[in-house]
Amino acid sequence: MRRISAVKFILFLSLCFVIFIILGFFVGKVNISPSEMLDDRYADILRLRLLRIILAIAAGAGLSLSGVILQAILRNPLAEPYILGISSGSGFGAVIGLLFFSSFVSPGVLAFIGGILTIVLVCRLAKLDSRISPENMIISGILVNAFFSSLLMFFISNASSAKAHSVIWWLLGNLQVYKGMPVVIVAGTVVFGFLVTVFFSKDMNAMSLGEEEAMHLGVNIERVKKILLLAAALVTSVIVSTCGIIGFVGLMIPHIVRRLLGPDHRGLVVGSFLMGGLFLLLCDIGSRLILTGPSELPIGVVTAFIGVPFFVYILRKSRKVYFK
Amino acid sequence: MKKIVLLLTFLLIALECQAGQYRIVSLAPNVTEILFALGLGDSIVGVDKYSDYPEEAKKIERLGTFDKPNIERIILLKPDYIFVSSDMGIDRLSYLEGLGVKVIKISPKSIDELRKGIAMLGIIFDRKPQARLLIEDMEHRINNVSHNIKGKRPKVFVQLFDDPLVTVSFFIGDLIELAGGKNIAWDVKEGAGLFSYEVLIERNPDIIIVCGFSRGMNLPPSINAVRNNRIYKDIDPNILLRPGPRAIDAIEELNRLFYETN
Repeated sequence: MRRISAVKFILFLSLCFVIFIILGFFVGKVNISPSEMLDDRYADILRLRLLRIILAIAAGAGLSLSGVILQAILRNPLAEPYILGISSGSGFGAVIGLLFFSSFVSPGVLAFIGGILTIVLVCRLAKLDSRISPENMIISGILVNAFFSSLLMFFISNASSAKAHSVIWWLLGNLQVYKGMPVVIVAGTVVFGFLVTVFFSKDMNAMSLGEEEAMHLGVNIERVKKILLLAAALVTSVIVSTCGIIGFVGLMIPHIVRRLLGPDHRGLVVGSFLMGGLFLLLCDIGSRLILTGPSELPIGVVTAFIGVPFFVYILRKSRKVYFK
Repeated sequence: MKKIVLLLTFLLIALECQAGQYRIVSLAPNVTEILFALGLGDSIVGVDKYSDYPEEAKKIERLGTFDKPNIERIILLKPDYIFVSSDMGIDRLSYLEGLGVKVIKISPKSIDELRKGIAMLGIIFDRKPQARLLIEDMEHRINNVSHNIKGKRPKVFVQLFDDPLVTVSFFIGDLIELAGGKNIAWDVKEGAGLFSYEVLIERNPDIIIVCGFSRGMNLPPSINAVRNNRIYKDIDPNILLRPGPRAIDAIEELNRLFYETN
């Protein structure tokens, strides 16, 4: 597969964005014809669609951004936003919130705290002589993940059935919010994380060669690593605390964009950011259309369902060793 | 000597009766309630952890959840019958079927099926008159409620969770109709699932029944139930969601809420 120029790719994605955002306004469980769009009756519904479009784009962009960061730092093709245990840490926080503090704290807040604490814990465990080795991070991530998963399962299995169900629904992922505030927080954090990552994208190029090589090229790797990990953790935790666990986006999008644009992080970061947003928006539109009647599919079901065939196609077509 | 033996036999029979005629394990809270209503409470030797009504049910040995029952305890209890309300965990119990225990699934999806379930239990355990009385009482009370239904039926939405928005129409949809309301989630397949928030706004319920777990989502004031402050959170979810005899209490309660003047 021939590589395409980053500028053309970004222009193409921007065009798709315009089309899908407009589509996102017109597609939904309630049929609204274009001529009725501005009718007062539908103001609430259009507002919901707007929030949902923004949240889908922000969450998708943020998750793939986080995937790019982790794949670069850990130099591992399987790295994705949840590899360091953020999903189970946040999930555990959310369960505690739902089971014990549901009347006065939103589970999202505790999910966020859980996610950040997890990443801090993983970094502490992986630290050796004041440096964090990628291999240690992956192992610590798996350990912490397993530990929090077991706690999560313990609480779910012991909760009353209504509460246990609500936790499971929460974990399945959801892009429909009712207030503007969570959307602003997620979008703001994702944009902030994006700017930080763009700033360090050259350093990421050096680091994906190997830590020693990066050091010779004059990169302060421990500092860059810390800042980028923190950015990834922040972005992922905010997304998980608002939308639950949406899998597969953060693993797949960076790989696809790497196939299309090549491994230069300057294009990769921007390309993944846009493509992630676009992909989740597309999946969300799908989740509103697949089932008939008033029921919707959880978004996490759709991402893998649409994503896997697409991913396989790209991988087969590029005929190369993965992660090059 | 003969007298003593006779006396002992009588005592033993009396003790037997005391302990109940049958040995029943109920892994479904609604079946536990029906069995108690039929006067079979003292035949129940084990229940699942959600069987909490009537009060006496709490004193019976707990055998875990319906999908992961404690098989070892069940074997020791030597039941004649095991009742379940869903297919979950039935593979574990099929082993017991091989040992001669009857595993029966009762999962009514409507009041009509509930009646049939009660009648069936009446036949199995030779409690036909009690079952008939129970069913007649239910019908009588539903009939009474139907006299209170007048004018336009309110549109009702049942909210199981609010983030994400999940509804349930399985069984409770029937209760709403009998109580004189119109369930706006009538077309949700499989009886429960994610409900589109857009459709909630469009169908505009007059009443929202919160059962389960709510964190208080922000509903737009254009929804009638919000504008008129008719969101009810106080009905015991167990009577709304459990297809047992107390469903009739739920119908009466719902009817009172639907037609109360405020």
